[in-house]
Amino acid sequence: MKKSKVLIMVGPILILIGIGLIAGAMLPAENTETFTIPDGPYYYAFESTTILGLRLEGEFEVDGVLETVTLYVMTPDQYDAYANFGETVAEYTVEGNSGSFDVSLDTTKGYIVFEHGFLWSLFSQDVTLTYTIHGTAVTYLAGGIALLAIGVVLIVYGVMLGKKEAAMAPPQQQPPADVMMFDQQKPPGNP
Amino acid sequence: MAVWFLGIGIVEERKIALIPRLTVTAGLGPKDYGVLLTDQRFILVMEKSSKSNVLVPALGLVGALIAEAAATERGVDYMSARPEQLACDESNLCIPYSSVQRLRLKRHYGGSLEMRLEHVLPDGKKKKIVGFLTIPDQLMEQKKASGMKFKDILEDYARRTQDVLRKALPPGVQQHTEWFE
Repeated sequence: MKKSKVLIMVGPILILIGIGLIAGAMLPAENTETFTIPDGPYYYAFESTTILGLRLEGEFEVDGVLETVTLYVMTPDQYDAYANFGETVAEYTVEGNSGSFDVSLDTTKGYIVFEHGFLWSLFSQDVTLTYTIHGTAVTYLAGGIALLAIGVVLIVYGVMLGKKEAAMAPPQQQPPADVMMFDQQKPPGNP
Repeated sequence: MAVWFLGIGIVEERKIALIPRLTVTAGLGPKDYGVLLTDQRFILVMEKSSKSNVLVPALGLVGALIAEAAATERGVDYMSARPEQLACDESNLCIPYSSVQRLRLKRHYGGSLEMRLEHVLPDGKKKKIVGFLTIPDQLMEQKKASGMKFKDILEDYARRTQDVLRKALPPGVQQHTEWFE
């Protein structure tokens, strides 16, 4: 198969994948994570980055009836102060054996942080978190746009290459344009 | 005076007529054949094949683009090609006149001319080929430029196609042929 045809075939496929990624980037992302906060002075943090606004919602549950954890939803500045200086200023805070959250942030980056509940730092704690991120995912969007652009470039290049190939190729045999008899011959036995 | 025996030769298969385009829509997508009539058989010479039946419903406009890009088109020199050469090509179809059970030409509303060819394969299975004897684009453009109306162009082409078939096909096939009038 000619190079130009391959390019013209691959281009639309990349465009389709690109459009899929861009569409996927705009949809809410749902996920469930199960993790363990090790015993001791440890916390467990999730980071999420979008382009246009960010809303985090979800719920958590600790594996153990009496055990509690503290959940914070933080902006980047708040997380920086928490991670470096231990400050616990957050957009939303909840402590308990289970809980839920639904927080809209003004920033495009947000953090969900879990730390041991009061007196529970002596034990490791298993937590299940189910969350939904509303926003536009940067990675998917960038990947989608990149694939879309590459697809368009391939098609344009393929068309240009096709014209060049056609110009260089020997002239193709023109098919007959009308019904015809060869030398007016008749089959044997035909009147 | 003496007459000398020279040897025994084989009579070459003769090309009788050509119908430039038979469009068969089946399987993965439409296929355009040139219908070469020899003194022994029909040779349907594949000129263009597409996979649009699969790609367009699945991928829409993008599928149409891919199908168009992937369509295979071949130029065939019917004047110089020998029937045996064309018959050897696996993408072409050969139908000996002796295997033809029924040939039908039918005009549809709008002027298109359908050809239905029923024949028997060497293993005894029955097969049919149904397609439209469509007018080549180039001829259509020429006729339009000469001022003919679309309907008249199709009418004229259908009649001339039928005339050529009447002249080219042996009586054995014509016996099983239904003409459109």
